[in-house]
Amino acid sequence: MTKRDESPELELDALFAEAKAARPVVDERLTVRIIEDAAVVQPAPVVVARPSQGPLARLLELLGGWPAVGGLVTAAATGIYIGFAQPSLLTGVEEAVTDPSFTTSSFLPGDDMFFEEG
Amino acid sequence: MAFDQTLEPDDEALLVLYANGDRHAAAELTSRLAPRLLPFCNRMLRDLAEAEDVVQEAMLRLWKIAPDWKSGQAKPSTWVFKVASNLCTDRLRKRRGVGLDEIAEPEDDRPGAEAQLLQTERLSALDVALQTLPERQRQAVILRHIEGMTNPEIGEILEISVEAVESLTARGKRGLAAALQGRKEELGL
Repeated sequence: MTKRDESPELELDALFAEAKAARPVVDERLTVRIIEDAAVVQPAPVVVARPSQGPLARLLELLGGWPAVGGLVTAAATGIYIGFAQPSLLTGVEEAVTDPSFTTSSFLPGDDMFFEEG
Repeated sequence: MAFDQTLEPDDEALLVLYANGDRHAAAELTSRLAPRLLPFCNRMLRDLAEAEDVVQEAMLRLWKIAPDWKSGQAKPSTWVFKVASNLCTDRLRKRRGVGLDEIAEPEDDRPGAEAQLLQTERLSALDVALQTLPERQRQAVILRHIEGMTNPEIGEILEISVEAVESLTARGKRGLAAALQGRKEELGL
Protein backbone atom coordinates (compact mmCIF):
# COMPACT_ATOMS: atom_id res chain seq x y z
CA MET A 1 0.00 0.00 0.00
CA THR A 2 1.36 3.39 -0.91
CA LYS A 3 0.97 6.52 1.16
CA ARG A 4 -1.58 7.87 -1.26
CA ASP A 5 -3.88 4.96 -0.47
CA GLU A 6 -3.85 5.52 3.27
CA SER A 7 -7.01 6.83 4.83
CA PRO A 8 -7.03 10.40 6.23
CA GLU A 9 -7.55 8.87 9.67
CA LEU A 10 -4.23 7.02 9.52
CA GLU A 11 -2.43 10.12 8.23
CA LEU A 12 -3.81 12.13 11.14
CA ASP A 13 -2.85 9.44 13.64
CA ALA A 14 0.73 9.55 12.36
CA LEU A 15 0.70 13.33 12.66
CA PHE A 16 -0.68 13.14 16.20
CA ALA A 17 2.06 10.68 17.12
CA GLU A 18 4.69 13.10 15.77
CA ALA A 19 3.12 15.95 17.74
CA LYS A 20 3.10 13.82 20.87
CA ALA A 21 6.79 13.08 20.49
CA ALA A 22 7.69 16.73 19.91
CA ARG A 23 6.11 18.16 23.03
CA PRO A 24 7.93 21.02 24.79
CA VAL A 25 9.88 20.16 27.91
CA VAL A 26 9.17 22.00 31.14
CA ASP A 27 11.91 24.53 31.74
CA GLU A 28 13.70 24.41 35.09
CA ARG A 29 12.77 28.07 35.69
CA LEU A 30 9.07 27.28 35.29
CA THR A 31 9.38 24.44 37.81
CA VAL A 32 11.06 26.82 40.27
CA ARG A 33 8.33 29.45 39.74
CA ILE A 34 5.59 26.89 40.41
CA ILE A 35 7.28 25.50 43.53
CA GLU A 36 7.91 29.02 44.86
CA ASP A 37 4.20 29.80 44.44
CA ALA A 38 3.40 26.59 46.29
CA ALA A 39 5.65 27.59 49.19
CA VAL A 40 4.04 31.03 49.44
CA VAL A 41 0.46 29.78 49.72
CA GLN A 42 1.17 26.53 51.57
CA PRO A 43 -0.68 26.25 54.87
CA ALA A 44 1.52 25.94 57.94
CA PRO A 45 1.97 22.37 59.16
CA VAL A 46 -0.81 21.33 61.47
CA VAL A 47 0.54 20.84 64.99
CA VAL A 48 -1.86 18.99 67.25
CA ALA A 49 -1.37 20.25 70.79
CA ARG A 50 -1.45 17.45 73.34
CA PRO A 51 -3.86 18.19 76.16
CA SER A 52 -2.21 18.42 79.57
CA GLN A 53 -2.64 15.22 81.53
CA GLY A 54 -3.73 14.85 85.16
CA PRO A 55 -2.16 12.29 87.54
CA LEU A 56 -4.94 9.75 86.90
CA ALA A 57 -4.46 9.95 83.12
CA ARG A 58 -0.70 9.54 83.55
CA LEU A 59 -1.20 6.48 85.80
CA LEU A 60 -3.58 5.04 83.22
CA GLU A 61 -0.97 5.55 80.48
CA LEU A 62 1.72 4.00 82.72
CA LEU A 63 -0.37 0.87 83.23
CA GLY A 64 -0.92 0.46 79.51
CA GLY A 65 -4.27 2.12 78.93
CA TRP A 66 -7.83 1.03 79.52
CA PRO A 67 -7.49 -2.58 78.26
CA ALA A 68 -4.68 -3.30 80.70
CA VAL A 69 -6.56 -1.65 83.56
CA GLY A 70 -9.62 -3.73 82.67
CA GLY A 71 -7.55 -6.89 83.00
CA LEU A 72 -6.16 -5.78 86.34
CA VAL A 73 -9.63 -5.00 87.71
CA THR A 74 -10.95 -8.38 86.57
CA ALA A 75 -8.05 -10.22 88.23
CA ALA A 76 -8.49 -8.29 91.48
CA ALA A 77 -12.25 -8.91 91.57
CA THR A 78 -11.70 -12.63 90.93
CA GLY A 79 -9.22 -12.78 93.84
CA ILE A 80 -11.63 -11.09 96.22
CA TYR A 81 -14.44 -13.42 95.18
CA ILE A 82 -12.33 -16.52 95.77
CA GLY A 83 -11.28 -15.15 99.17
CA PHE A 84 -14.80 -14.58 100.38
CA ALA A 85 -16.87 -17.26 98.68
CA GLN A 86 -14.41 -20.16 99.00
CA PRO A 87 -15.77 -22.15 96.07
CA SER A 88 -16.00 -25.96 96.65
CA LEU A 89 -13.65 -26.60 93.74
CA LEU A 90 -10.83 -25.08 95.73
CA THR A 91 -11.49 -27.13 98.92
CA GLY A 92 -9.56 -30.16 97.65
CA VAL A 93 -6.62 -28.02 96.76
CA GLU A 94 -6.67 -26.37 100.16
CA GLU A 95 -6.79 -29.74 101.95
CA ALA A 96 -3.93 -31.10 99.91
CA VAL A 97 -1.81 -28.13 100.92
CA THR A 98 -2.76 -28.05 104.63
CA ASP A 99 -3.17 -31.80 105.37
CA PRO A 100 -0.61 -32.75 108.10
CA SER A 101 -0.44 -36.36 106.86
CA PHE A 102 0.92 -35.12 103.61
CA THR A 103 4.59 -36.20 103.27
CA THR A 104 7.27 -34.99 100.99
CA SER A 105 10.12 -36.92 99.48
CA SER A 106 13.38 -35.39 98.48
CA PHE A 107 15.29 -36.91 95.67
CA LEU A 108 18.08 -34.42 95.79
CA PRO A 109 21.29 -35.36 97.51
CA GLY A 110 21.90 -33.69 100.86
CA ASP A 111 24.56 -31.06 101.44
CA ASP A 112 26.54 -33.39 103.73
CA MET A 113 27.72 -35.51 100.82
CA PHE A 114 30.33 -32.81 100.09
CA PHE A 115 31.76 -33.12 103.61
CA GLU A 116 32.01 -36.91 103.83
CA GLU A 117 35.37 -38.48 103.45
CA GLY A 118 35.79 -41.33 101.11
CA MET B 1 -0.90 -6.54 45.71
CA ALA B 2 1.52 -7.24 42.89
CA PHE B 3 5.19 -7.32 43.82
CA ASP B 4 6.07 -4.80 41.12
CA GLN B 5 3.42 -2.34 42.26
CA THR B 6 4.98 0.82 43.59
CA LEU B 7 3.84 2.42 46.79
CA GLU B 8 4.10 5.98 45.47
CA PRO B 9 1.29 8.21 46.69
CA ASP B 10 -1.24 9.21 44.03
CA ASP B 11 -1.85 12.83 43.05
CA GLU B 12 -4.64 13.28 45.57
CA ALA B 13 -2.52 11.93 48.43
CA LEU B 14 0.25 14.34 47.42
CA LEU B 15 -2.20 17.23 47.43
CA VAL B 16 -3.33 16.31 50.95
CA LEU B 17 0.31 16.03 52.05
CA TYR B 18 0.95 19.47 50.57
CA ALA B 19 -2.05 20.90 52.43
CA ASN B 20 -0.66 19.40 55.63
CA GLY B 21 2.62 21.23 55.19
CA ASP B 22 4.76 18.65 53.37
CA ARG B 23 7.34 20.63 51.40
CA HIS B 24 8.30 17.85 49.00
CA ALA B 25 4.74 17.10 47.90
CA ALA B 26 4.54 20.28 45.80
CA ALA B 27 7.73 19.44 43.91
CA GLU B 28 6.54 15.91 43.21
CA LEU B 29 3.11 17.05 42.06
CA THR B 30 4.68 19.72 39.85
CA SER B 31 6.95 17.15 38.22
CA ARG B 32 3.89 15.01 37.43
CA LEU B 33 1.44 17.64 36.23
CA ALA B 34 3.44 20.45 34.59
CA PRO B 35 4.91 18.26 31.81
CA ARG B 36 1.37 17.26 30.85
CA LEU B 37 -0.13 20.73 31.09
CA LEU B 38 2.52 22.63 29.16
CA PRO B 39 2.16 20.85 25.78
CA PHE B 40 -1.61 21.20 25.94
CA CYS B 41 -1.47 24.93 26.74
CA ASN B 42 1.28 25.50 24.20
CA ARG B 43 -0.76 23.85 21.46
CA MET B 44 -3.86 25.81 22.44
CA LEU B 45 -2.09 29.19 22.59
CA ARG B 46 0.81 28.65 20.17
CA ASP B 47 2.98 30.73 22.45
CA LEU B 48 5.33 28.98 24.85
CA ALA B 49 5.81 31.91 27.22
CA GLU B 50 2.07 32.40 27.51
CA ALA B 51 1.56 28.67 27.95
CA GLU B 52 4.08 28.68 30.82
CA ASP B 53 2.18 31.53 32.48
CA VAL B 54 -1.05 29.57 32.20
CA VAL B 55 0.56 26.43 33.68
CA GLN B 56 1.91 28.48 36.59
CA GLU B 57 -1.50 30.08 37.19
CA ALA B 58 -3.34 26.76 37.00
CA MET B 59 -0.92 25.17 39.45
CA LEU B 60 -1.25 28.17 41.78
CA ARG B 61 -5.01 27.64 41.84
CA LEU B 62 -4.42 23.98 42.68
CA TRP B 63 -2.20 24.96 45.62
CA LYS B 64 -4.86 27.37 46.83
CA ILE B 65 -7.67 24.82 46.68
CA ALA B 66 -5.56 22.13 48.39
CA PRO B 67 -6.69 22.83 52.00
CA ASP B 68 -10.35 22.58 50.91
CA TRP B 69 -9.87 19.63 48.55
CA LYS B 70 -12.68 17.10 48.90
CA SER B 71 -11.53 13.56 48.46
CA GLY B 72 -13.13 11.73 45.56
CA GLN B 73 -14.65 14.82 43.91
CA ALA B 74 -12.23 14.76 40.95
CA LYS B 75 -8.67 13.83 40.17
CA PRO B 76 -6.26 16.72 40.73
CA SER B 77 -4.92 16.22 37.18
CA THR B 78 -8.41 16.55 35.68
CA TRP B 79 -9.18 19.53 37.89
CA VAL B 80 -6.02 21.39 36.93
CA PHE B 81 -6.52 20.60 33.23
CA LYS B 82 -10.00 22.10 33.49
CA VAL B 83 -8.54 25.26 35.03
CA ALA B 84 -5.80 25.45 32.39
CA SER B 85 -8.33 24.89 29.63
CA ASN B 86 -10.49 27.76 30.91
CA LEU B 87 -7.46 30.02 31.27
CA CYS B 88 -6.46 29.26 27.68
CA THR B 89 -10.00 30.05 26.53
CA ASP B 90 -9.89 33.39 28.37
CA ARG B 91 -6.61 34.31 26.74
CA LEU B 92 -7.81 33.29 23.30
CA ARG B 93 -10.92 35.43 23.74
CA LYS B 94 -8.76 38.39 24.68
CA ARG B 95 -6.76 37.81 21.54
CA ARG B 96 -9.89 37.80 19.40
CA GLY B 97 -9.41 40.06 16.45
CA VAL B 98 -5.78 39.12 16.10
CA GLY B 99 -5.46 37.22 12.82
CA LEU B 100 -3.71 33.91 12.59
CA ASP B 101 -0.98 35.50 10.51
CA GLU B 102 -0.16 37.84 13.36
CA ILE B 103 0.48 34.99 15.79
CA ALA B 104 4.15 34.21 15.81
CA GLU B 105 5.18 31.02 14.06
CA PRO B 106 7.09 28.68 16.32
CA GLU B 107 10.76 29.44 15.97
CA ASP B 108 12.95 26.77 14.55
CA ASP B 109 16.55 27.65 14.08
CA ARG B 110 17.89 24.17 14.73
CA PRO B 111 20.26 22.93 12.11
CA GLY B 112 18.91 19.71 10.71
CA ALA B 113 18.38 17.47 7.79
CA GLU B 114 15.58 17.84 5.30
CA ALA B 115 13.52 15.23 7.14
CA GLN B 116 13.66 17.27 10.31
CA LEU B 117 12.58 20.38 8.48
CA LEU B 118 9.75 18.46 6.89
CA GLN B 119 8.63 17.21 10.29
CA THR B 120 8.72 20.75 11.64
CA GLU B 121 6.65 21.83 8.67
CA ARG B 122 4.16 19.05 9.29
CA LEU B 123 3.79 19.90 12.97
CA SER B 124 3.45 23.56 12.14
CA ALA B 125 0.78 22.68 9.60
CA LEU B 126 -1.01 20.61 12.25
CA ASP B 127 -0.93 23.57 14.63
CA VAL B 128 -2.29 25.90 11.96
CA ALA B 129 -4.99 23.37 11.09
CA LEU B 130 -5.88 23.03 14.77
CA GLN B 131 -6.33 26.80 14.99
CA THR B 132 -8.97 26.61 12.28
CA LEU B 133 -11.15 24.36 14.45
CA PRO B 134 -13.76 25.75 16.84
CA GLU B 135 -12.24 26.06 20.30
CA ARG B 136 -14.05 23.13 21.94
CA GLN B 137 -13.24 20.81 19.06
CA ARG B 138 -9.61 21.86 19.24
CA GLN B 139 -9.46 21.22 22.99
CA ALA B 140 -11.11 17.82 22.61
CA VAL B 141 -8.83 16.75 19.75
CA ILE B 142 -5.65 17.83 21.57
CA LEU B 143 -6.67 16.17 24.83
CA ARG B 144 -7.77 12.96 23.12
CA HIS B 145 -5.24 12.47 20.38
CA ILE B 146 -2.12 14.29 21.55
CA GLU B 147 -2.40 14.15 25.33
CA GLY B 148 -3.89 10.67 25.21
CA MET B 149 -6.69 11.27 27.71
CA THR B 150 -9.78 9.12 27.92
CA ASN B 151 -13.19 10.37 26.83
CA PRO B 152 -14.58 10.42 30.42
CA GLU B 153 -11.59 12.49 31.54
CA ILE B 154 -12.09 14.94 28.68
CA GLY B 155 -15.80 15.07 29.48
CA GLU B 156 -14.94 16.08 33.03
CA ILE B 157 -12.49 18.76 31.88
CA LEU B 158 -14.84 20.27 29.32
CA GLU B 159 -17.91 19.60 31.48
CA ILE B 160 -19.74 17.68 28.77
CA SER B 161 -20.95 14.11 28.32
CA VAL B 162 -18.82 11.31 26.88
CA GLU B 163 -21.07 11.25 23.80
CA ALA B 164 -20.47 14.96 23.29
CA VAL B 165 -16.71 14.35 23.55
CA GLU B 166 -16.93 11.62 20.90
CA SER B 167 -18.89 13.95 18.65
CA LEU B 168 -16.42 16.82 19.18
CA THR B 169 -13.34 14.69 18.45
CA ALA B 170 -14.93 13.10 15.37
CA ARG B 171 -15.90 16.48 13.94
CA GLY B 172 -12.52 17.88 14.91
CA LYS B 173 -10.68 15.13 13.06
CA ARG B 174 -12.80 15.64 9.98
CA GLY B 175 -12.09 19.37 10.15
CA LEU B 176 -8.37 18.73 10.49
CA ALA B 177 -8.33 16.32 7.57
CA ALA B 178 -10.13 18.90 5.45
CA ALA B 179 -7.75 21.67 6.53
CA LEU B 180 -4.70 19.58 5.69
CA GLN B 181 -6.10 18.20 2.44
CA GLY B 182 -4.57 20.86 0.24
CA ARG B 183 -1.09 20.45 1.76
CA LYS B 184 -0.75 16.67 1.65
CA GLU B 185 1.81 16.60 -1.15
CA GLU B 186 3.82 19.46 0.24
CA LEU B 187 4.00 17.94 3.71
CA GLY B 188 4.69 14.38 2.57
CA LEU B 189 1.47 13.03 4.07
